[in-house]
Formats: sequence, C-alpha cells, structure tokens
Amino acid sequence: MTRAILLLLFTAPALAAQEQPVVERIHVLEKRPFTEAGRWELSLFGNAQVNPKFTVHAGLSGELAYHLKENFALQLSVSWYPVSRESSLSEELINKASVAPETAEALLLQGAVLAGLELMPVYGKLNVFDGKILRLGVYINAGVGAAKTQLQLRPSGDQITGRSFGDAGYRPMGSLGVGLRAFVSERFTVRLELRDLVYSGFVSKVNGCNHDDALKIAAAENAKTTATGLSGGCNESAFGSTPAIAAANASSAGDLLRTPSAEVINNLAFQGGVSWLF
Amino acid sequence: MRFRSSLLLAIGSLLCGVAAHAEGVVYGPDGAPTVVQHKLHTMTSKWEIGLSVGTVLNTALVNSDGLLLDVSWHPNEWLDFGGQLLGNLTSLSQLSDNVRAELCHTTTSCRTATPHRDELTNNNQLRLGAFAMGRLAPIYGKFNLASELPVHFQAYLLGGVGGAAVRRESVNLCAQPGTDVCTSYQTVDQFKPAGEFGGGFRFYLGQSWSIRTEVRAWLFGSSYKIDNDPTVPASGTEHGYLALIATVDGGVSFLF
Repeated sequence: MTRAILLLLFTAPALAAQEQPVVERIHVLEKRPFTEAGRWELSLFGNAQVNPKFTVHAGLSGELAYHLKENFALQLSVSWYPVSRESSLSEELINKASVAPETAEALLLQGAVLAGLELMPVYGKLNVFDGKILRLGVYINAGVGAAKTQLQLRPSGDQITGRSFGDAGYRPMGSLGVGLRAFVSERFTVRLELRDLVYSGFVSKVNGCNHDDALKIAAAENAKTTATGLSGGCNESAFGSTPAIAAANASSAGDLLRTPSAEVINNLAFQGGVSWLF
Repeated sequence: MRFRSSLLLAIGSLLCGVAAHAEGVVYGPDGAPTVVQHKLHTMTSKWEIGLSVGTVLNTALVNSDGLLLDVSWHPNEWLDFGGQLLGNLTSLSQLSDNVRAELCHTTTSCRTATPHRDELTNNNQLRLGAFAMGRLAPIYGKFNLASELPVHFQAYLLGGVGGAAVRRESVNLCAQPGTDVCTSYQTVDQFKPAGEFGGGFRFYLGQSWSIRTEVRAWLFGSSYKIDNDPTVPASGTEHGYLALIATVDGGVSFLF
C-alpha cells in the first residue's frame, strides 16, 4: 500500500501536467542563446538596383563588421557592379525618340567603398512552417564613402562601338539602409537589406577631358590624327583603340558635357546575402 | 521484497521521465528551459477581407495609383485563396510629356521630315482587373519594438491569374494622319488575360485586424509597333512582348 502511494506521488504530478491546457499565458524574460557583441561578421551580398529608370546596376558586395555591442556595429563595405549601364528605357528614348536623359541622371556606378554604423534595435523570432525557430534582427545602417563612376557613351546597338563607357571619376557617397538578419545558427546568418545610395551626379569631365577637349579629340580622330592642346589629365587614348571608335565616343562625350547638369542621385539597391560570425 | 521495491522505483522513475518528455521541454545552452509558445494569431478557418492602396514602381512612362480589394479563405495556418479586384487611376507621366514635346518642333509639316518610328514599349496602363489568387505564408514571427511592444507578423508569397483591362496610349506614334503637329496619339483599350506574383508581410494588430504591405508583379501580353510612318497611323507592324508592371501596396485586412 505504501509503495502504491509512493508510485502515485511520483507519477501524479506528471500525469496532471499532461492533462493541463496546452496553452498557458506566461511572461518570460528569455536570455538570448548567444550574443554578437565582441564578434566580427563577414558578409557577402548580391545586389540589384530596384529603381532602374535610366540606369541598371547589379553586382556584389562584401562587408566586414565588428559588433561593439549586441545591437551596435561598425561596418566597412566594398561593392562592385559588373552590370552598370543605361536602362532599356534610356536606349529606347535615344533610338526611338531621339531624346536622352540628362547626363547627371545617367551617371553609373562602377564600385563603391563605404564605412559606417549599424544599429539593430528590433529583435525577434520567426519559424518556417511551424518548424525550427530562428532568431531575427531588424537593423538600420548609415555610411559614408566614395564611388567610382562612369558614363555610357554609346548605346548597345551602335554599329561602330557597341555599348561603350567613359570614366567619370570619383564621387563622395552616402548610404542609408534598413535590413533584416535571420540567425540560422550561432555563426551563420541570412541577410536582406534595402540601401539608398546617395551621390552627386554632377559631371564635368569624361576620361579626364572637358567639353572642349572632347570636341578636339573627335575632330582629330576623324582626321586620323592626335588632338593637341588638351587640358591636363585628359586621356585621349581612353576613348578608343581605333580612330573611328575614339571619334564616336569623343563625339558622344562632347554631347553629354555640352549642357552642365547636376543631380543628387538616389540609387535604391536591394541586397541579399549570407554572413559568418566569428 | 527488496527486488520489488527497486522495480517499483524504477517504473515510477520511468513514468516520470516519459511524462516529462511528453511536456516537450527543451533546454537552451544556458541550461534554462526554452518555452515554445503557440501562435497568438491563428488563421485556420477564417475569412479575410483586405483593402490596399498601391502605386507603380517601374513604369517611367506611366503614372498609376489604385485600390486592391481582396476576399480570401484560410483553410489552414499557411494557405489562403480567394479573389481580388483591382482598380487604378492611370495617366502618362511627365517624362512621356517631355518626350512628346521633343517630337515635333515646328508647327507645320514637321512629321514629313521624321523618319519611320518604332513605338516606345512599356506604356501600358493597367486600369481594372479581376483575379483568383492564393497566398502561401510559411513564415510566422514576432519581434519587439523598443524591447517592449511585441509585434507578430507573417511573411508570404502570393500568385494569381485573371483578366485585366489595359490601355495602351502611344507616347510617340500619332493617331492623326497628315503632317501637322500631333495632338492625339494612337490608343488601344484591350481586355487581356493576366497573372500576378509577389510577396508581402502581415503585421497583426489583434485577432481581427492586421496591416499588410506587398510587392507584386503584374504580367500580361502587350505589343508595340515598329516601322510606323508618322504621317500614316495605320502603318507599321505589331510586335508582342510580355509586359511586367511592379507595384507596391499597403493596406489593412479584417479576419472573421
């Protein structure tokens, strides 16, 4: 009898626990299973412009961050845009309506370096099909840096040059971003981010040459000679390897530089990638 | 007798263990039990009515803003299907007006000097639509705003098929024969089969109300003319292509 009571005492709480309602209202202050504070994070992103009116950009970004605190980090990122050209709309406007966007609006990014800060004020969790629970962080970031830019001189359908570009120099750049970081494990995260890249679209030189230089080069190359009296830093050979190509490109550069234009460009880029915490 | 006591104790411990396992307690890295809460906001067997306002993202030649009304049924937590009605106010953009202003600079006979033109693409104005649609919501989550305000959310993919009324007003091809400055442009109104796909987030305000934001692409067949004589509107050849209009919208939905 005593043993039966003992057995009942052992099993009753457990059985009672099983019969209780499944859902209970509780207030839990849960300790995070791991922290990012004091750790480095290396990220690799693929990115694409999401407001491609006159320009199209797509490329890769790498980012190194150090998390000073759980929700505060320093960042250094490098971006490279192998796809950097005028949009099909821009080329259609040139080919079908003989109009072109202002030079400033068509300025293209080749690459960028940014240093900045990240703040992750929102922390949460998610699950997929009621399966594994993943930690989640929503962050904002801001940075400053520099961008290397170029201008498209000729459209893709050009019989002489094909799609061609001219160097437009370096520009200061700022960025503002908002993103989401899902922690797949303690070390591995998936990141989605929207960044507004802001930079000056003022263009006064192409391949280091101003408007007058471009006209001189076009005239000289048409005559199969070398231009003289160019301003310092003007690189005639950058317009093309043959006189026909150089003349066409220099002529286009002259057109683009004829009317000065300035614009603050907002290049909205969506980027998704993975990162490694160590 | 001693054997029976040990056996009873072992069986008791085993039952305790089994019962404890049935509780499903999972221990975290710090040794504390992890509590898995059930969803605060369930969707199964509920109807949903949603109303959103949206605008286009990728049509530089066209302005478009509108409303999207949807009704759907949730058979389980991660799927719902129903119908949608779309209505947009559309017009050509400032860029289109600028292009038109550059087409003819003189008041008379300007079109005779203009070579044959190809029509600009992506001038589609999606005005009305009716769609059967479904949403797949694999992700449910929660985050805390300022560590105090918990926000429950759902992320989903969506897709649908239906029909749409599309106006195509040419930006650069004139509807008037002759050589004078053009004041009316070639316009076609058509009803076309159309599809949509996209994704979105739902942020729960309570058991009944939620806020939704979505990005989606509307797809339908369209065409443009090539080799159009500016003085003869009927000239030229139609070429087909798949048009894509991307929109972003935000609105509210009611679950009951």
